[in-house]
This record gives sequence, structure tokens and C-alpha cells, in this order.
Amino acid sequence: MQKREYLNFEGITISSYEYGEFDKIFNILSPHKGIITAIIKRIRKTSNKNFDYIDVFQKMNFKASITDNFYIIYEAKSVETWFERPIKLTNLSSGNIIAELTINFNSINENNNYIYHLVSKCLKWISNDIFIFTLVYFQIKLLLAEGIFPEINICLNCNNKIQPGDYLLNLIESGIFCNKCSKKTKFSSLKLLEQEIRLLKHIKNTEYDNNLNINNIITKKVELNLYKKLSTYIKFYTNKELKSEKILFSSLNK
Amino acid sequence: MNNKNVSLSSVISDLINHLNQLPGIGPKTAERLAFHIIKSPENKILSLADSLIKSKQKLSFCNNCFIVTEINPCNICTDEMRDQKSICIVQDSIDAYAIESTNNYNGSYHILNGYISPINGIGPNELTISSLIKRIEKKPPTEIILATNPTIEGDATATYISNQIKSENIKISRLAVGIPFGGDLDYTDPKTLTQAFNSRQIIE
Repeated sequence: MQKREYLNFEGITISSYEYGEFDKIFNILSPHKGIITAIIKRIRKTSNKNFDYIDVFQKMNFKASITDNFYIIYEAKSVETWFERPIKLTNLSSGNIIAELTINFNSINENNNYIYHLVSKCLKWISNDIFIFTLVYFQIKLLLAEGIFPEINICLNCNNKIQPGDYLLNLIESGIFCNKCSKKTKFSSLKLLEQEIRLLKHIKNTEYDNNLNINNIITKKVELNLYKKLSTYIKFYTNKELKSEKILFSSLNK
Repeated sequence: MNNKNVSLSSVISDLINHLNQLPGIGPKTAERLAFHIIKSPENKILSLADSLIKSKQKLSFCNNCFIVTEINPCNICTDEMRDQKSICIVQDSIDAYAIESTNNYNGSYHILNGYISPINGIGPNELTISSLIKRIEKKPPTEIILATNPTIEGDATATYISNQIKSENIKISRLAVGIPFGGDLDYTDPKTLTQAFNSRQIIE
């Protein structure tokens, strides 16, 4: 007989799906245990004093029983809700991209607490209608936390300092080559423009707080192009497509 | 499927596997159903099999509203006693049947066949929204009721549709959210209670 344990934890609901007739399964990002997959029984049918309204993109205090690594939530109380109704498609799909990236990179390490607060911060910015900058910020901070941020300060081949300009980002080597050495790196490369490299460096070295106040030094076009390039870079590592991306782009075009 | 099916007859394993593929049926329930079927009288099971085959052969989606129907267009779309100027938009046929069971709505329906869910790769193009827009352009309604679920995705679907069909001549509404009949205020979560307060009605 497996021993039953109990756990109280704070978490952010990042995705959910219906299970059985009345139940739902939630992927909950926690500060210390990465993503916890847990079932909430009868949540689609009844209201229960132990549960506040629960949906994705909410920070909640959970109480769970655990048997054989299987979590059953028996109490959930709201701490913070980001997406107020009515919800626009751009907000939902941007939030879903954060969720997909978090799930794809889910690993339990010393950076869990940082990623937890990063997700919390980025969901808040998205709820304030800051979309692409938030997604680029999230991509860069996630790459740094996972230790796969590309080398952008020195040339991977000759080790010379990279001067302002356009360069090729090599996906396999995870870094950029100076113009002299770039002839050696024609395969699996992305062209990064000077402004995109500036934005990469700026976000890498800047930690914005919850109340984001960005100066309009960077154009939306640069943000979007950098987002797309980093998305290709991330796909190269995770080998996973982001389903929400196509829907985000179509909603941005409208 | 778990390993114990290896020792079962391949016919039973096959049945369990098929039942397990149905929504809401896990491996345990699939096993229970399979053994129930085996123990049931033959005529009952033949009748069930006949219903399954007929449902596939005779049922289709209405060309106008996309409800599951035997005839095309469906009875609801051709019923002159119903208010065809009112369209209630729901996620699935089963939601339309739930509303029909109230005997309180006498308009037509439009079935989306799902809801917008970017994380599952389901955008507006995967639903019947473009057909809805064509339907509205062809025969403009006076009222549209958005009856999607009050979840984040249901709400995003309703918001998207209302933005697409906004017109001065169409009254667009969304189903109310609040305390259920027989519910206890003390048991209602703060978000639902706030919504119920905001949607309170004057007693006339």
C-alpha cells in the first residue's frame, strides 16, 4: 500500500484539459517542484467551498494529497488573477506561448523559483497588453536560466570581440561568428541584425520589475523579428512546435 | 493499455482498447464496460451495435447551423414557428440540446464545433465562425446570444465572435454567470459572487 502524503503549495495554473465526465487535469507551475500535474475532481460540475474559481493563468494556494506521485487537489484558493474578462485572443495566445515554453523546458533545478516569478511577471505584462516584448523577454530569460543562451559577445571561431553590426547566429554552435569567420558557418544559421543584437544584449543585462515601463527605443518590428528568430533557435533545441504561435500571429494581423 | 490484457483474449483486449479511446473513458472504466458488454444479453448488444452503426450512417451536420441532424437542413432551421432572427451560439450540439431541454428558447442555433484554444492549435479557422459570418451576411439576425462556457477559452471565443459580427442592428448578449438555483452564497467562490453582484437585477 502506497503511503499518502499531503502538500500545501503556491502555484500558477498554466494549462488544463478535461478528464472524465466532471474532472479537470491542471499543469501547475510551482516555485520548487517545477510543473505539477494534478487532478481536480468534479470541478466542472459543482461549486465547492474548498475551491475558488479556477482556470488557467491564476496564482493559487493549493492543498493536495499525493499517492505514488499522483496529485489530487482538494483545496484551491486564489492569490492573483491576471486575465480579466472579456479576454482577447492576443492575450490568450500570448499566455499560451508562455505556458507551452514553460512546459517544453520543464526541468527541476535551482532556477525553478526564478522561472516561477518570471512567468508570474510576464503574465501580468501580457494582461496589460504588452505582447511581443514580453515574449522576447521570456524567451531570453528562459534561455539564460536553462544555460543555452547563445554567445553574442565574442566570435565563436576567433574569440575576437563582436563589434556592432549584422551577424550570423549558428544554431549548432549556439553563438555568433564575426564577419571574417562567417564564411565557415553557412549551415543552420540565422541572420541577426544589429538592432536585434542590441535588444538581445539589453534584455540579457536588464531585469525589469513587475511594473514594466519600457522606453520606446525599440521598434515593434525589431521585437517581432527577434521573437521569430529566437523561436526558431528554441525549436532547434526542443524539437517542438508552439501550437499557439500561428494563432497569435493571425490575431496580431487583425 | 496495461500489461494484464496480454493474458486476456484478443477479442476482449480489442474491445477494451476501442472503449478506452472514447472521451472520458479511462482504462479501468473501459474494462468495466467491456465485461458488462460480455455479460449482457445478445439482443441488447446487437441493439447497441445497430445504434452505433446508424448514428454514423444517418447522422450528419446541418449545412446551416452545424447541429447533429438526420435531415439537412435540420428541423430547427426549417421550423417556421421558431424565431429564425435569433441565433444562439454554442460550442457543441450537446449544449444546444441542454438549452432545448429548458423549453425557454425558441430561436435558432449555430454550433461552433469547439472553442478557440491556441495551446491545442485550435484557432478561429478551425471552427465554424466563417460559416456563421456568411450566414449573418445572407440573413441578418436581430439578436445573437453567445452561450459559450464561462472559461477563459470560452470567453475568448465569445469576445472574438462579438468583435467579428459587431453591428448596430444586432443585439449581442452573453449568458449570465452567477449563483446556481439551490446554491448557497456561503459556498460561492468570490469571482462568481462578484459577477453575480455586477449582474444583479432590479425586482419589478
